[in-house]
Amino acid sequence: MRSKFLLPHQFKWIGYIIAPMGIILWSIIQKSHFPHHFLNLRALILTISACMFVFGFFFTVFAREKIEDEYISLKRLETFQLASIIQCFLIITGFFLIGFAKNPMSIENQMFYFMGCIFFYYLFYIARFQYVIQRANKLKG
Amino acid sequence: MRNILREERTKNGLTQIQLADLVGVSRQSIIAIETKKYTPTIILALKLAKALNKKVEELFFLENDD
Repeated sequence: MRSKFLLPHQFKWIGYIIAPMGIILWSIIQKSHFPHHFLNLRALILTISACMFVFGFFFTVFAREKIEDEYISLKRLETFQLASIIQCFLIITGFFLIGFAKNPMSIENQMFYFMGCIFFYYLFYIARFQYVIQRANKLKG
Repeated sequence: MRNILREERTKNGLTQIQLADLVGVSRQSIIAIETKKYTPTIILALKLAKALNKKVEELFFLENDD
């Protein structure tokens, strides 16, 4: 079954490699201190590492399975829907926490929270989709 | 929907992987159909019937609550 928007299967492994590399590099650079005249370099590395983990997640999520048939497509759709519903719930919760909490989050924490909501979508999708496919594989039928 | 896919597959001496390869789907799809967790589309049902030398209505049966 052909899907227009899926990448070749090999992109999954590229994504598995570059996403964690991007996160690790971003974390290291965030905590590092650069001399003043190297600040542009720091910004460049942060941008590249952020792009690595965004693209890494994207490649992993949108890479085809080895055999992409109608059953796999259905499970893919269900997983996208479930990830969307949970992400929506998390975002709305975030708005309530900001609006009605006695000690609302700082702007920085709000940013991390909502960025976390974005990446939660991809992480949940990857985990749930793989779980469903592996569970289906283990059934003997 | 009820089906006798597993019985017909074993009658033909095919494994799940062999049947999956014959019709061009994943083994997970065959397992899901045999365990009634998934109802195939008409195209897949026709391919399965052709692979097992049966008619679709000899493999798949409507139930009262369908």
